[in-house]
Amino acid sequence: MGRYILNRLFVSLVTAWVLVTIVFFLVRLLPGDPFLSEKVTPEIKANMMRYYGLDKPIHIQYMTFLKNLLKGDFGYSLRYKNRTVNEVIKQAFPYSADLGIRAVIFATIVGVTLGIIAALNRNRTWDYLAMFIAIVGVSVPSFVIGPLLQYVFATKLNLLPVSQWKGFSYTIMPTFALSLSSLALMARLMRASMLDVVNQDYIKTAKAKGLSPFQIIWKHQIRNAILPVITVLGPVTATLLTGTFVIEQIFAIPGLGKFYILGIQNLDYSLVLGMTTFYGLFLIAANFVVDIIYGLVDPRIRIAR
Amino acid sequence: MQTSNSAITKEMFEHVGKNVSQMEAIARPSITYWQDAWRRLKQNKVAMLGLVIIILYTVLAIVGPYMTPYDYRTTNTEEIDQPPSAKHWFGTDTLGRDLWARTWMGARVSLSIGFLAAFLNAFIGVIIGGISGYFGGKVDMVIMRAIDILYAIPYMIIVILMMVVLGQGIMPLVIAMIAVGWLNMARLVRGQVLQLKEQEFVLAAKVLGASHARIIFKHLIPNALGVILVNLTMSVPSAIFTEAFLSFIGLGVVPPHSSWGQLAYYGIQSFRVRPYQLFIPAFFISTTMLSLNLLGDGLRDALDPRLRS
Amino acid sequence: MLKKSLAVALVLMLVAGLLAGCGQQSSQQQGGEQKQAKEIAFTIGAEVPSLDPQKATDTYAILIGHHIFEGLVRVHNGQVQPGIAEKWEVSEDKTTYTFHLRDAKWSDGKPVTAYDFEYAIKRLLDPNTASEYAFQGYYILNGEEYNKGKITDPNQIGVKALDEKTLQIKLKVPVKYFESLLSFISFMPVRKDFVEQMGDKFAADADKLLYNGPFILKEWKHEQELVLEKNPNYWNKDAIKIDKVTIYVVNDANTAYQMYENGETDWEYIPAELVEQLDKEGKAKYFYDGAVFYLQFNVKREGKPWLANENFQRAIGFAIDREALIKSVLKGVSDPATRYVLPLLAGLEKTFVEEYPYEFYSKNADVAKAKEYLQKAMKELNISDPSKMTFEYLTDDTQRAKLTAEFIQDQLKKNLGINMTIKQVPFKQRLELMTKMDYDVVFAGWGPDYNDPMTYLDLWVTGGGHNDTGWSNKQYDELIQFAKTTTDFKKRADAMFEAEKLLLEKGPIVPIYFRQRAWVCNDRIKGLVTDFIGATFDFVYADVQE
Repeated sequence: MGRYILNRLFVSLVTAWVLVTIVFFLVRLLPGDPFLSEKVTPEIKANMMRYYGLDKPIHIQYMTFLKNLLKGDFGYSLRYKNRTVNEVIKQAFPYSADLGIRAVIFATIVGVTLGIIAALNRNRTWDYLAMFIAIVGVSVPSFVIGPLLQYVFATKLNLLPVSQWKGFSYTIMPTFALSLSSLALMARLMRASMLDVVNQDYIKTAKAKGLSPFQIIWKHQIRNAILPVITVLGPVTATLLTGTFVIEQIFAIPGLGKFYILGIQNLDYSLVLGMTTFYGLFLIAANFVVDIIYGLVDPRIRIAR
Repeated sequence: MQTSNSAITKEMFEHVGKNVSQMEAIARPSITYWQDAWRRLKQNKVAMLGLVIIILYTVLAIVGPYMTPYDYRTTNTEEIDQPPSAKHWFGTDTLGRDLWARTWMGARVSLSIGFLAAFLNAFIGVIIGGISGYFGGKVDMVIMRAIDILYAIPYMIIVILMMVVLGQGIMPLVIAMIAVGWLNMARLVRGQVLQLKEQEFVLAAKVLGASHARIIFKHLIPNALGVILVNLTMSVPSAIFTEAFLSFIGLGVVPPHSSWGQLAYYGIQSFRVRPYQLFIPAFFISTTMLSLNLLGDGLRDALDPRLRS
Repeated sequence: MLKKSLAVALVLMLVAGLLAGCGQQSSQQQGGEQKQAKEIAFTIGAEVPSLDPQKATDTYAILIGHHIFEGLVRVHNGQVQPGIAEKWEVSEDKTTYTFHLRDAKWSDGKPVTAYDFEYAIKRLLDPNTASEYAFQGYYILNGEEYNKGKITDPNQIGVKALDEKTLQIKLKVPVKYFESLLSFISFMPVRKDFVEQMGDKFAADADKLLYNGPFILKEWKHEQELVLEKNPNYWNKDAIKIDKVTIYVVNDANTAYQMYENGETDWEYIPAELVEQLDKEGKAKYFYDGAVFYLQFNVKREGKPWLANENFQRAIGFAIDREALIKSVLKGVSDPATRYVLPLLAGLEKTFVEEYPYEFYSKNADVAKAKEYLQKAMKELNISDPSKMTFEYLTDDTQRAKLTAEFIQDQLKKNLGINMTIKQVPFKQRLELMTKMDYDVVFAGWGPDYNDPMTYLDLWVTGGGHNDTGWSNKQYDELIQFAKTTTDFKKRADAMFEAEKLLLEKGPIVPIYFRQRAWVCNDRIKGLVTDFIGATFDFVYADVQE
């Protein structure tokens, strides 16, 4: 087991290195350069390139980047001139994480519940109702649902604040808007998977053994059916943590999501690189954890290994 | 039992010969797996409704723009922001362009992006996920690490990069979307295959000497089809949404094309004064999603061999 | 029942009395009594990238800097007022300025000295500061040379503190607008010991900056909000009425507007789609933000000789219905540009446009004239079919840019039979394509750096740093050169007018519109001023009256 983990760790490190290398050269391929602006002149731009070490040959920049990366230092942002990328991430990520995790929890609980309700009441009113809710969730883009929620609940009904992130009432609309599509995905996967499982032999065996319906549903059906949901939990968490841009923009939340798009638009190399590496390492770690959970939940995979 | 003294003689038996025609006779008419699926899909009224709506929208996307005398590009500053009327069925937009024509021109773009991206994603994902899950070991390791790396590069970088490298338009958009879009499907299929390959029918197939390709494509993937289909119906809207999201940050399709996502994005800015500019494209996006989902559900039920009665 | 209504009436009377009391109390402010703090709030559309005066470039930094810093002079409502400099003298040849500083203090209590200004200007020009706006200091003697590394001794720069209270600035050539330029953020003083003590962290947070303006930055929650408070050390603090200002960072324009509607902020831009309605209600206000937008032709484009043809360029210019474009795409906000210089820029006494009235293009499309020009162009180029004269129109990736492009595309097709394709790219990519001159026609804009037509006109001289058209006209160059060096301001203005006319008749530029912004403001805010240069909203002397 120790060797397995060590092995996985080594592989993860190689993955991380390949990732940062790809991204390092990817951002340089984006057209334009960070200091282009309407007013800048070539000489002034040269000063700025020199100041940030961007005038050096690319392989030297790459080595410098790797060296600093080992120290956990992403350098100064090219746009937010007095702030390091580390500071930007440290200050903004908690907001994105807070929003993302709320959305994951909400989406999982409500999605799985809806899926179970739908599957157990197959082709009956509850099924249709649960699936309708799920489908509405994927049917409306978040940039539509966000402003509509704001208009109805903040401007018209005056029940919730329009935007910002200053307390529980501020989190309701963004969390809801962000979780909708994932919620629908979870509900539908759970329903499909539950219906798959219900025809399996071990369920028949369990029924034959005379287990109570509750025990069958809880111990056999749900536990087995939740597997596809767990498979997507990693990517969904990643999507929700990194895909907060629209919601952060609409609800004026000071999270990391919008820095990403802004970073690309401004060609802020160090910010884009730093954030990609940060998210990348985060996702690699998350996948690692998902793999382990996967093994824990499905006994068959453990045996196979 | 008491007739022990009566011996069984040869004469008591009669040679009937080979009756080939009767030997292979089947009581019920022979139908293939897909015929059966289609038959059962037809019985599912809700799913059929979904199918009809999708076909209707597809047809309208083709003929819709020609049903009105107004071109989707022609501006008319005398008629800006007109609500729906007998003249302009869906009203006009901020440049006075006919929204009926624009909606169906947008449908062309949205639907082709959605279907193209979703099918290509599924195609690539199923093959790679199937191979990865089935062979396991080193192959799985390499593929999964590659997927991990691709996963760790946020989507937008790839999309922006591809759009720049390939120039703008619908195809670059689709290519950008499938560059990393297949990952989800691959993981999902791999998970399913991991589960299925330990089951008895796979073992039986192996014992009978079936090739790897046959096991993957004839046994494992058809059995995973339910989950694949559910995911596929989900990925059509997500492709349409990705395009819409790109419109939101200014990287969507470029003129003269428009899309439902772009119409809705414009609509969200004007819905307080001109709700029809939002609700018309939003209605078509939503009903398309709804139909695809209902159809996906119906297909799932129809294709699942275990639900056969 | 009667009792109940009586009770209600009594309560109402009581409340009314209290309210009246409140009003009286606040209007008859007496020393020692508890005064109600005057607080205002508004939004900005993005996080401020930097508040370091010499590194700041964006409009929000300029807006905030206007209120937390004070330079030698202060520009309020277009007028130059004494700032930290109490008075100043200008030499006979108009190139040497001597400023006499008043007693003013930094927020940490130490005096603001001439050395702080000298240090700031040298810091701006130091190539190692890598300031994007260093060009604002190029007017100063040897400033450009030092910034470009041609000289290395900072003492050769024409700025010197003669003593703690006297600052001398020498210019290369007379600059008519130099005084107003000094209110720009790049010229705000910074204190050497503080900057060096903070190092890289200077200006990174609210406590890593020193303030000498009417307000101090109390709190800076990045991406969230900035809080300004009245500066008790400000030399003119009695003129400042506002106690506290909260500035929220809100990216989405619709969200920001809804915050205004909910009473969370005091003023806001109106989203384009709502302008019409608010205009009918009489609530919408408008101001020019200084930017002029135009089509710019690449006259060096290979294989497309018509792009360099003056008559072809004019044909395009006359074929576009500017008023219809503004009515549809911009929802009526903005002014058709029939000439190149913004109507607000200063002339000799009044505005330049008032002193030199001129209209080259018409507000609506003049199709007959456009066709006439097109015929001439076709003859010169020996082309018989206008649809062969295609070009690609380069523009930004925003919604309005797209609508503008589609509108112009349709106009040219309808009015001239010319086909153009649209290429939308992100902002930085557009700038790069322009710099490399890899475009046919681009929709571009320019905002003024100072209150003088020269800010637009000197763009198009041969080899100019921002002349990405390849256009070169000797007569134009001479006119601009003359205007830049003469000490006779009347002749200077005449030359600029000649240059503008020449540009409109022959230059690679077709002006489309002068941008305006529509906004709303809470009635309780008094004395809020908008400006097209510097701080868009100037609330230095604003007041709150409930």
